[in-house]
Amino acid sequence: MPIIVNLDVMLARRKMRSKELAERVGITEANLSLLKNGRVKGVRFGTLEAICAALQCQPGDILEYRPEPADGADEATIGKTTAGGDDG
Amino acid sequence: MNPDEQPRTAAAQRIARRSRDLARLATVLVPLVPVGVAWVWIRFEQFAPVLTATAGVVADPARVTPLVRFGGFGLNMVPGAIAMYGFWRLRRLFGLFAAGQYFSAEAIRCVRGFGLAALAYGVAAPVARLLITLLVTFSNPPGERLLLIRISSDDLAILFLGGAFYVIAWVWTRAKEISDENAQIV
Repeated sequence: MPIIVNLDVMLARRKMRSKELAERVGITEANLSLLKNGRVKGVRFGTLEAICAALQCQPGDILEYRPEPADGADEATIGKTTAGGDDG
Repeated sequence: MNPDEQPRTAAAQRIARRSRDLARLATVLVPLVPVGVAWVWIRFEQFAPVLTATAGVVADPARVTPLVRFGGFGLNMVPGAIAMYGFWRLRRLFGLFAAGQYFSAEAIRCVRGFGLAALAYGVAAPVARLLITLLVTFSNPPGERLLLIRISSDDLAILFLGGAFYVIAWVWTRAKEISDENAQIV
């Protein structure tokens, strides 16, 4: 899945437990766990807004785009391409 | 709770209330079918004039022996049992709606089951009518025995209803897929 959810990282930075975040956001712990593990089909803007408000962060702090490697390419090559790609 | 959820909760409560009412009604209808059919055959003398007026069938109650009445009850209960099964599926369906399970696999099976029951009833009822008229007039003098083939608008309406519910079950299956996908959006 190209969209990576870095919720664990933000929870650790804010020293907040998943249960507390789930309560603040208004979703179940089970759904929060699915979200953390990237096993959901999507996130509503309302949920994203509530997460950002609770964790005092931006959407980019918890969502990351990491393209899947094409056939024959490896992740190291993609990382190099992404890091040095935009010189203009 | 955010304001967007309040109307959905009120709608869900309304659905649950009406569904419970309909489930209770369907529960009552199930045993009423055999009781009603039995009553007609026990009190055949009362209904014989209706049979003559509506279907032109002259059935002498004196010739309609207990064995004939039992046979008539049995024939009537073929579509009757199908109707009982249909009401039972509706009872289960409205029970699921009352529990908030609108698009479950079981709900789809109930819709499909009711559709099949209605289709089967639409075929069985005219056949039962045909056999019943033959049965009750069999003891009549020659020339007064009847074989009645009658397909009424009610039969056609039931067949249409059954087909419609069967197609709705297909649509409901698609609705379940959408519902399942939505459940994976947090």
